[in-house]
Amino acid sequence: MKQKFSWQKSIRLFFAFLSIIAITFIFIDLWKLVSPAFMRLILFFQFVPSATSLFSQTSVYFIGFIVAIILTFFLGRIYCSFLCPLGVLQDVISRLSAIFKIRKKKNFVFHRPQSVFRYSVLTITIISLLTGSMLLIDLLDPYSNYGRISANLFRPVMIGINNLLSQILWSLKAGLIPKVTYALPNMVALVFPLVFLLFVMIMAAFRGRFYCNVVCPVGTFLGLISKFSLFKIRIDKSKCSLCGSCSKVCKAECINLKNQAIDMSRCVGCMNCIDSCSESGINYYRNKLVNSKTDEKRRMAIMALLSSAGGILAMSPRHRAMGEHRYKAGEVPVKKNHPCSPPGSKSISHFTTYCTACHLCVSACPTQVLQPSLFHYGIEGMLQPMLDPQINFCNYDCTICSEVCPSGAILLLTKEQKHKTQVGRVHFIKQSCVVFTDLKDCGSCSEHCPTKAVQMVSWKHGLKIPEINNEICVGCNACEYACPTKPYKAIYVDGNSIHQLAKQPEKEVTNEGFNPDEDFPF
Amino acid sequence: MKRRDFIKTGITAGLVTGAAMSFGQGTRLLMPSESYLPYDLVAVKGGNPGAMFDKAIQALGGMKNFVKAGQTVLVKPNIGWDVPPERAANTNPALVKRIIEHCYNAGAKTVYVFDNTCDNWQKCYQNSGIEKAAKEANAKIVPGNTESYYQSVDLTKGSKLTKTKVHELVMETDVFINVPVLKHHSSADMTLAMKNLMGVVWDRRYWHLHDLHQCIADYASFHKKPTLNIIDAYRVLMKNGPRGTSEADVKMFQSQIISTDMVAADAAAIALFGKKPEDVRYMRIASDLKLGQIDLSKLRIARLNM
Repeated sequence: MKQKFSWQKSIRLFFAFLSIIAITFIFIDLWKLVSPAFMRLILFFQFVPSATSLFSQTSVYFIGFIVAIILTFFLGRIYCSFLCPLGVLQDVISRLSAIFKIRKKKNFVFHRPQSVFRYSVLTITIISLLTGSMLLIDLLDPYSNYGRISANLFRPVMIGINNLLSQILWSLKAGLIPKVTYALPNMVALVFPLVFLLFVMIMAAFRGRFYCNVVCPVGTFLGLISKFSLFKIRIDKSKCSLCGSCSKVCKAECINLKNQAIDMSRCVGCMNCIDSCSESGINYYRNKLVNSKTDEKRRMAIMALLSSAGGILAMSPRHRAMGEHRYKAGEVPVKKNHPCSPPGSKSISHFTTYCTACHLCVSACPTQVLQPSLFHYGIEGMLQPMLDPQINFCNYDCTICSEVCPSGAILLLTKEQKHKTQVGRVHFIKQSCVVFTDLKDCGSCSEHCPTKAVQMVSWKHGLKIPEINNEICVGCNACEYACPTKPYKAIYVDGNSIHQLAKQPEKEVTNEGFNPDEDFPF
Repeated sequence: MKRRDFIKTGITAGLVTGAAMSFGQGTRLLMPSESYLPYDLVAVKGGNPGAMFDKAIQALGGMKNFVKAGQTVLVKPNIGWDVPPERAANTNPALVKRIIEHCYNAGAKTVYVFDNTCDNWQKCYQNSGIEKAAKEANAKIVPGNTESYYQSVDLTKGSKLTKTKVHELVMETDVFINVPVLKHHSSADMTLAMKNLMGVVWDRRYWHLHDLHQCIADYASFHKKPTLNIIDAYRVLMKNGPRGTSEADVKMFQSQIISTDMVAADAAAIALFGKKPEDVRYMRIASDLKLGQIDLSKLRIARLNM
C-alpha cells in the first residue's frame, strides 16, 4: 500500500488531473484567459461531442472519439480514468471518502455486473438517438454532465468568490477586480446538475465507479470494446496468493477473487490493482495469453449490438435533421413560435440534433444571453441553450459560441457571416408601446438595434414611434431586452426555425452638419 | 442671472454634500466660479482631439482652474457601444487620454474613468480604445456593470425622476469631468452632455418608461453636476445614432466644445449639428428649469482655430 506509484499509475494520474483541471477551468474562466481554439483542443478527446461532430460538420474534431475507441481496443477503458472529467471527479470523491472515513468499510468489494440494466440503458439511448432525440444522450453523457455541473454550479461559486474579493478590494480602494454579473438560469438547469452531482458523489463515495458501470452509456459502449482489447489487465495465477488487496482497491468492483478474473467490460484502467499487488502478479498482458472461455454466442450477440449501434449512430442524426420542430408556448404572453437558437446553429433542428447541452457556450457567452432552455425546444431539447432576452442580448460582433462548441451544434462563423445571419425576426406590438400608450418618447429598442432594423419615425404630436424592417434584422434580441414595458414587451424577436440570410443595412453618406472650414454657426 | 444661479446652487450643493460626506466638497467651494473664467464657452476647430483640447483648456486658464492638487477626478466619457473609434459612437480615446494627462499635470491624485455601457462593458471598454488610452495615461478604469457600485440619491428638483441610483464615483470624487460625444440619437434626438449623464445611473429603463426627455432634464438638476463639460465633435455620427451602422454615418467636424454650463455646451453642439437647440425637447425643459443658458447670444464665447 505504501509503495510508490507505478509508472502506469503515474501516467494515469497525470492525464486525469490535467483533464479535470483543464476542463473545469474552461468552464469557470471568468477572465477569458483561454482562447476558443485552445478550449476545443482541451475537449478534443471527449467522446460524445467528438462523435456528434462527425455528423454535424466537416472538421478534424471527430478524430478524438475514434482515437478513444482505438485506445480502448488496445488497453481497455482507460478513457474513463485518463480523460473523462466525470470519471476523474468520482475518483477524487472516492479517495476523499476513504481518507475522511466516510466509507465505513474501507475497501471495495467485488460486485456482479448490472448487465441487464447497463445494456438496456445503452440500447434505449441508441434507440432514442435513432428516433431523433438527443434527450437521453444529453442527460447521460458524462462530459456534458460535468460541463453542466461546472457551468451551473462551480462557475457561480467562482463568480461569488470573485465578486466578494472585488467588493473587499473596492471598499478598501486597494485594487480593481471587475465584478462578474450572474444571471440565475431556469431552475431545472440548476436542479438537474445538482441532483446529478449529489447522486454521483454518493455513489462514488460508497461504490466507486458505480455510475460508469451501471448507467453511463459511453462507459458501457467502451466496455463492450474492452472485451476484445489487445492488452488486458490479468492476474497471474501462479503469483497470486489470494490476499485480496487488488480487489479492495478496485473502484470498478470488477475483480473476482473466486476465479481470479478481472471483468474488462467494467475495468476503467485505473491501474490501482497493479500497484496494490505485493507479488507483482497483476499487469497488462497480451490478450492471447489469457486462457479465455468466451462464450461464442455471447460474443456474436455483442458484435451484433456493436455494429448495429454503429450503424444507428451513423444514420440517426441525418434522419433526425429532416424532421420539423415544435415549440411549446406555455405561459409566454408574447406569442413566439420558436426560441432563437445561437447564431451558427443553422436551424433549430440542426442545433437540437447535435447539441449535447454541455453549456460551454453558456459559460463563454460574454453577455450571458445564452441560457439553458426548459421546454422551449420541446422536451427532447431540454437544457440546450437558447437566446434569452430577459437576461441580455447577443453582441453584434461576437462569435464566441460558434468558436467553442465542441459538438458542431453551433458551426463556426466569421464576424461577416454572423452579420448576415438572421436567427429570428423582430415583431412590434404598437398597442403595448409606451409611445403609443403614454404619448412619450422612448426609442430604447431603436437605440440598441445594431442594423437599424428598428427605426424611430415621425408619428404624431411630434413624437417618434418604432418602425421595423425585418429584412435587415439579425434577431439579436437587443430591442426586446431594451424595451422597458412591463410585464410584456412591446417589441420581441421570434426565432427562425431555419436561420435566414439578413440583408445588409444601406450605407448612405451624409453631408449635412458642420464643416470645419466654415465659421462656427454661433 | 446665470452666474448668480450658479453661485447659489454651488453653495447649496456644497453645503448639502459637504454635510453628507466626509471629504471632497470643501475644496470645491474654494474653487473659482465661472465669473473668474475668461469665457463661458470655448469652441475650437480644425485640429486633432488632443491638440484642440490643449488649446481650448488654455483659453479657460488651464486645467488647474478645475483640478486642485490632491483631488480625485472622475472622467466620464461615452463608452456605450462595442464599436471602434472610427464609428464615432463613443468618445474619442485620444481626447480622453489628453484630459487625463491634464488632470494629472494639475496635480490630481487619482483619475477614474467609467461608463455604464449598453453593449457588454468589457467589449465596449476594449473596442472603443478608451481602456487602452486611459491606462496609458495612468487613469483607473472602473466597471459600472453591477448595481452594487450605485447608491440611491434623491433628485429634489426632478418632476418625473425624483430618485435614482448613481455610481459612487460620481458622489465620492472631487471633480467630475463630463466628456460626451456629439451624436444623433434615435430617441433623444441628440446625445450630448446632459444625455451622457444617463451613463452614471443604474436603471435607465425607468427613464425610457417615464418620459425620457423630462428625465434627462430632471437628472441635469441633480446637485452633483459636472465641473466641466467637454463635447467631442471630432467625428460625428450624423444618423442611425446612438450606435450607428457603418462609417458612412460619420462626418468629420474636427471640433470640440468646452463649458462649465451643460445646457450652453449642448446648445452650441446642437447648432454645430445643424439644428436649433430649442428643437430638442429636453433642452427646452432644461432651459425652463434654469439649469443653464440655451441662448448662445448671451454667452462669452471663445472661437478658436487650430
